[in-house]
Amino acid sequence: MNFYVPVAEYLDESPIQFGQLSPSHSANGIPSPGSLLESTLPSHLPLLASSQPVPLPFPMSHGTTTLAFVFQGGVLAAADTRSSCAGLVACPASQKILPIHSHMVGTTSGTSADCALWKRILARELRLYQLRHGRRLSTRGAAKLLSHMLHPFKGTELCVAATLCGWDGGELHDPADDRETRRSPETDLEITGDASGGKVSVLRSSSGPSLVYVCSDGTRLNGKLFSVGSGSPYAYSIVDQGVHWGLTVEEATAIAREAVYRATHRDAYSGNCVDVYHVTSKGWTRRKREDLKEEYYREKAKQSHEGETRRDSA
Amino acid sequence: MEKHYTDSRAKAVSTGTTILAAVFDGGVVICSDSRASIGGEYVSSKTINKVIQVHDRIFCCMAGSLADAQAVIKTAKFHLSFHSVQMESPPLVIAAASVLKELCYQNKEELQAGFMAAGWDKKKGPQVYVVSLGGMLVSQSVTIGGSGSTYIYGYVDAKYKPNMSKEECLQFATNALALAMGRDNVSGGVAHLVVITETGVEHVVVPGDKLPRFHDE
Repeated sequence: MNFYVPVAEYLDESPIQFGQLSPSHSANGIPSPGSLLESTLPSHLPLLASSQPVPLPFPMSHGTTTLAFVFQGGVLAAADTRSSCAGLVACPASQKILPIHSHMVGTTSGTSADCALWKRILARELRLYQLRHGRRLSTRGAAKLLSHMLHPFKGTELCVAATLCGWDGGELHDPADDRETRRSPETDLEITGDASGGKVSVLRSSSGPSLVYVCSDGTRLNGKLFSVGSGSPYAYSIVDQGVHWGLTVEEATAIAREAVYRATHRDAYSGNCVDVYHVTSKGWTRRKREDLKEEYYREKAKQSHEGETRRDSA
Repeated sequence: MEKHYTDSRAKAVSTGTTILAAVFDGGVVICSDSRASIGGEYVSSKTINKVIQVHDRIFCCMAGSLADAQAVIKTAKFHLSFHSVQMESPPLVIAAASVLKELCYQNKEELQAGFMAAGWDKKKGPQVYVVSLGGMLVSQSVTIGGSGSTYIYGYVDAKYKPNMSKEECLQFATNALALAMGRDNVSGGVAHLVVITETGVEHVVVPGDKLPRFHDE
């Protein structure tokens, strides 16, 4: 049996040649420091031999508020929609939560361009994995894959800080089968539960909601609650005090929305609207995008109304 | 208030800290954590009290370089007691804040400390003032400061309501401190809360194990 392990190849291949059938594929697979720097140039230009790092044409956007947490109803991810470029709001309606496949979304923080590209690369690799192995890769496996793919760029200007929110579990070829599939996480061996004998007990089954934070500096953390971005400190207190396992979907959505709203109020680089995605065993669903400006005026009206009733009743 | 006081070039004892002051119906709550650290790496004290009394009904919270803050407060205490003897009445809270502001502003080159002054006086009732690093004086009904304050801006914006009762305000302040201490590594220890009303002053200490816990801590 031939186990295909794509991870080791990425460490040998030059980052420019991911999946490309380029005739200029170097015979020596190990990337030299020179070729790493050339990865910042567009690939159709002739590869230069210079060792000068190419300066960025303009400051890349970095400000954002994204958060995600796990609860009994699955995984909830929320983010603002402002893409800023130093002081300019480059796009007030950008998408910071990108779906990767039917049961996984990823929040993006850092340079928007880098995040969008790497999400697409990850989505492609996960789909290839699914076709080769007949099952979806777990969220933790996907995080490990993304982390290993980003590793060759450590030390460069690449900036990707993503949280992968997914629901693991379920087979590709029998969707009607509700039995839990037991398998060891992060290996290629499959141990299906419907075999009459030879069941191997595993320490924990990797099914259910899952949340992993991956950063281009090499951090990979499994957790239950993450907030990433320049606005994250402002959002943390709201989610810290409100999130627990037993939340209903409505409560969880309300907390996520409020946390993003408070962060956008204080952080200059976050703002405009809020996107909320909810991942369950049936896949991800997206809530209609809401303008936080309306939220601000609603709250002001409520506060002045409350102030009046307090004064009247006092 | 500025949040980053961990100037590790000087490696002075600085209060990476969380301080909060809030006005409620009939009084004011001023509170802080109790951790002092050097350069953000070594906790030099787990139990210092950053809420200092400068007069009967006026308290101060300090943030920044501990040495600078202690020196300024000592001077301010002296000025205030002299001032109250001259005026033959307890000083106004704004007087205490102005004394601190003068000291911070006139010595802004040498000092690296910011303050919150909170108290009760007969003229305006409960008040909170903030004196920032360079010497700006501002009156606010709720204010937070120190490095841990970034993590509770959202909470304070959402949960603070004017004219709360004393119990509500105490719970609000304790929750805010607990949240900040949970996320900021240079804030921690116990929570010192001081409640100042017309009738008197009450010092509440909430030890670490009695602090409110959130989700899976």
